[in-house]
Amino acid sequence: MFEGLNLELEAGHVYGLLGKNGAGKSSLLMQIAGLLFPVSGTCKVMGYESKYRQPSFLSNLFLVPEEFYLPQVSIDRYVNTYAPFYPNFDEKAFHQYLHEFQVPRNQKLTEMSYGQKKKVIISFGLATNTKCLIMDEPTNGLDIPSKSQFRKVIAAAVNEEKCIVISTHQVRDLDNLIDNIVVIDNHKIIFKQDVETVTEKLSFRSVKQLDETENVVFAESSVLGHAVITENAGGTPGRLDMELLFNAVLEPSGRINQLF
Amino acid sequence: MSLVVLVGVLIALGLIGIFTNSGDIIRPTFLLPFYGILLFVAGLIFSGFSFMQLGDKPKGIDYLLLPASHFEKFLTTLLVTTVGFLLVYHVAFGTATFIGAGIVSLSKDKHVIETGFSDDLKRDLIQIYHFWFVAQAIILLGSAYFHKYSIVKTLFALFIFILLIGLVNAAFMNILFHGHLAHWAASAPFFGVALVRDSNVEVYRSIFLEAPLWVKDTMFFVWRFILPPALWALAYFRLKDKEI
Repeated sequence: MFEGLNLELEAGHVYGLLGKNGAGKSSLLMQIAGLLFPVSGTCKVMGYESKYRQPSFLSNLFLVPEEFYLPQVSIDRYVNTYAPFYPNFDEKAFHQYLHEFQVPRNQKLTEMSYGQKKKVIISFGLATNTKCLIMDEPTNGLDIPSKSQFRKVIAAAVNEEKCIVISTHQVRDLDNLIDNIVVIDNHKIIFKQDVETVTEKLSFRSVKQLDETENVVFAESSVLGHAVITENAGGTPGRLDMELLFNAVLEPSGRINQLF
Repeated sequence: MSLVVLVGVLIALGLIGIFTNSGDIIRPTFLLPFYGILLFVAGLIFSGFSFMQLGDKPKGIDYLLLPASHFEKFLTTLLVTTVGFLLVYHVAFGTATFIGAGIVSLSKDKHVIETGFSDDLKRDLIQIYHFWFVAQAIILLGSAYFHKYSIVKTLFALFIFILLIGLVNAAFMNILFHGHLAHWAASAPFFGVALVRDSNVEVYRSIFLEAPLWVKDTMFFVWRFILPPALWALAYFRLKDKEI
């Protein structure tokens, strides 16, 4: 699936795994979770080789898959059955997350819509307090207010001991949420940088005419004129346009990568 | 709920059998075929569903990522499909027999069931259990390999496996006893071979060359006590190596 993959993710960060459909994001997440095995080399997570799926490894990792399964029981029954497997599970936090997502506690999982079920599994995943939390396309199926709620909830859950990896092809959903960007294309990691470095080196803005700007690294037509990426001469971090950066990284010329 | 349905079905089947039977007394030998057939049918269907969740990606992820070791997951499945099933089945069959015999006794106004077990019957029952454990282990292994229509696929794979063993055995026998076999397929793998002095002698004058008793005893021992655990171990390793 991946050739010559060399990727190290650290605790205390929220990684955004970006890529087009079929780029290999889900496969990479599956490898991290031990659901796919590398043909050669190793995939080590928290010191464990993921393919062995040891209980101590699994109790410290939670995966929210794109297509997920929830048994046909009530929320309380689900928690009573699954929570004991996660020693750091915080039931109070779980109910708090459900409240923030506006999911009724007494509703049965069978009676819920796909979006509501997704909110339940995201809330459960966060409440497990595992050191590694992986989410594959978590915003799929969430309405616009819920996406914003999702960003708030994740931002509140980050701590120094936790490594959160979120994959998505809807890059705008991760705006102001992730602190590290990993771009996958054609089963290769083509870009890995922290947001601070990106915003220190690059400037994202909109201009009416392209000739107004010098040192354009990448430009895209927009309704108001052009969205451009230029070199950040001052070095002062500015705002990040994730979608623009993503498109620039995927550009065949690879000019962005030359700057890092 | 499933137990109630099972008891109901067993009572219905038992009553049909009893009322269509001409004899007055229900003997254990009368119940044995019902008992054996249902034990195999229900038990093997139940075992066939053991790892069906692995055929469905979301359920498979949920199962494989549950924080428990592969051995714990496998052992749980094995205990549920063997000890758990046998326990439930015997409770259901016992209850059904008790209720069915009660209904018949009331309708005929006399005691109709004989409870004594002969030594032959006990031997038959032990054989049934040995065969059941072998069949259960085969179906469980099949369930770990084939996640959809596992029973049908397992039975087909078993048929192909037996056919291949039979063909390989027949080929070897034809090489070893060239011109002296009663006919090309006159041999039973691991058991014996039918031979004639020369090809002009009638088949009914053939002699059956059997494997020595110690070989047969060893094979029988392996069949009863080694094969089921070996198949369970294979199923466990299959589960351990499962990817989604």
